Amino acid sequence: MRPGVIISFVGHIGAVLMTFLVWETRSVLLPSSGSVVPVEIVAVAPESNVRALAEDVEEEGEAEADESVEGDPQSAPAPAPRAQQPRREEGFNLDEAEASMRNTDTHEGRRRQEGDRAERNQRGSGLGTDEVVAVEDRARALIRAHMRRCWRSPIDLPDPDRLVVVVEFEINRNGTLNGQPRVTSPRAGSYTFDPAMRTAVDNAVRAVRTCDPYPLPDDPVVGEHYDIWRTQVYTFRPSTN
Amino acid sequence: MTMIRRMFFGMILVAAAALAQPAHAQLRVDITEGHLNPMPIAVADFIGGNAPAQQVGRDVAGVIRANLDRSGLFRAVEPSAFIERITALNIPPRFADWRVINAQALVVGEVLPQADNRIRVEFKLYDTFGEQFLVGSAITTTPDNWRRAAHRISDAIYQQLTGEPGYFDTRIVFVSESGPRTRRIKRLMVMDQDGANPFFLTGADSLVLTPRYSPSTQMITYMSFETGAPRVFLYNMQTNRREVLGDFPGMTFAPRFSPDGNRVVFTLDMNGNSEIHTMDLRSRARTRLTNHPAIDTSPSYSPDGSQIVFNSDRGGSPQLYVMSSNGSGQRRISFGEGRYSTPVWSPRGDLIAFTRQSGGQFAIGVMRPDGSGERILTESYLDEAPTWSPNGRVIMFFREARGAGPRLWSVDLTGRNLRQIPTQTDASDPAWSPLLP
Repeated sequence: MRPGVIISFVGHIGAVLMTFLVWETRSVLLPSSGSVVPVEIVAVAPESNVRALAEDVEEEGEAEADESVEGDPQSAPAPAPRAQQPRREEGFNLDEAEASMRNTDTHEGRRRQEGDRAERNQRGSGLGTDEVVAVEDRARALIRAHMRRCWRSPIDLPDPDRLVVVVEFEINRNGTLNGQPRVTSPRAGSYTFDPAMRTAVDNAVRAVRTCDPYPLPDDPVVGEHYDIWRTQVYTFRPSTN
Repeated sequence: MTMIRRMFFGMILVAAAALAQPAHAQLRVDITEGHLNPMPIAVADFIGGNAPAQQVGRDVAGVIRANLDRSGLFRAVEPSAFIERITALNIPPRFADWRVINAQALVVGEVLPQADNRIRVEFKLYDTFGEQFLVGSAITTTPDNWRRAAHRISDAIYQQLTGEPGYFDTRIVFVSESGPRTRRIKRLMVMDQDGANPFFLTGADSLVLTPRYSPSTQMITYMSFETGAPRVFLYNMQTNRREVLGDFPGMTFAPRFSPDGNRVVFTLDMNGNSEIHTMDLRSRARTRLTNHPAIDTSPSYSPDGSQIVFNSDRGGSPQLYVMSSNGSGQRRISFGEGRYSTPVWSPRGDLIAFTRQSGGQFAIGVMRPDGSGERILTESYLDEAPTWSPNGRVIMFFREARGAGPRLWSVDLTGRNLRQIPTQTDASDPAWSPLLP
């Protein structure tokens, strides 16, 4: 549901924005010159663009390595762990963001890769990419073993393969459930007349509650990386194999 | 205007960042392995307005516990472990007290005597971990009908927690057997699905076999030697009258109603050749569906009425075949080792139950309508004659040990929940009714 909300939000904002800009351009800028808008933006934000490009070129290879690590953690070469630097220490650049939203930034892909890296670095509390992957994998194994005794699999219901449920929730640093689990799939109201799906949803939410508290804080490897396992998204997928 | 525009962009980006931020810090886990253990559920004795009502309340709770326990999907928590004592229905339970004893769901209820000498049985079902009310309702009935109230409540709980209709407010018709083997007395008997309230439908003067419920539960069709030769009879439960289904020159047996209740499909044996026929109960018109020198018998409709599974030895040994309800497209579906018989189509439509005889043992199994996915659920010296619960999750059959009389047993689709059904006499040929109206 969240990606949908974000996409919808950005879409609406984009529509409003375009209306705003078109209206402004026609009423104020057009009489003088149609090329005023891009010139104005480039003139205000040149430094940040230049600096970002230079660093992107330097880290291009690392970004690709990151992708391959995620796809196949065992075969990927292990880069030496090193402290990661925040990308934009100079602060948030509003002009750059505005340019990005106007789709004038030609380096959007690189920026997204930077974002992924930053996310991993932020979550890993200074861990290298491989370490983050290792901690995540260990956390997943712990969770699956823990959840095995809490989740009643609906494989004895008719057509169990379709009964996939996604639940998102947060847990506290001590492993206890923080707040209520949220079902992000299927959409609320979409299974009102589907008792089997309703039961699958109930079973999934009940499993998350029944498994509280979670064993992650007690694990010597995973325990200290709270930022990795604070928010969890479980996809309950009945397997008939 | 530039400043306004910047502020506008700033607001958008702050909002977008706020929305997008949690999506980044997520640990995603695929959960594919769970368990099939029964869910612990606490059923508190229903409270009552006076002493008789309290007794009914205890009895109702006991029947609900037994029903849910027997289903294999629930485990009734022992009442002696309860911490909180329920004293009023309008006060929410202390959920923590029920979580401590690992009860994932809680049932509370009340029996209220009414001015017209009836009772009102009310219940509420709670999710103790989610701390929420799930479902509740009230049933008004006569005091001596409290078992049906308990069964209906059991069905409501079962449906809420499993997503499938229940099967507790149902009956079983079966053949009650007594007397020595050389002079066996076989009578039709009806009881609740848990073995309570048994009563005879037919007398001891004629041998009966293969009773089957109509979809409305008001009629039973069966085979009887009452008139000398085997004949298919119809028994009307409302009028307690019975009639022969057609006066044919040969034997008629293995009857079963169509899903709409308007036809009976059965086997007619003439001149040593058994064929499957249907009879329209309104026009009494008979239609032959098979035409083969081999024995064709034990027909059973698919729940949509479009197909019929039956048993035939046209291939050399008894095997299962499927055809359209007009007799066309006959094709074999069983290819395993052994002899297959007594096929019954599941009310859910997804499986066919059967008896398989192989290696000196009899087994009850299921397969898909195309013959794939064969699974054996039980096996013993003699297991035979499966019948489905109306929700298609449980199969009842009879089992006979060497040197002992037959008894009724049930097993669920996992094959792990095998239980004997209590009967006062030896019992065979069970048929499960649909949910009672």
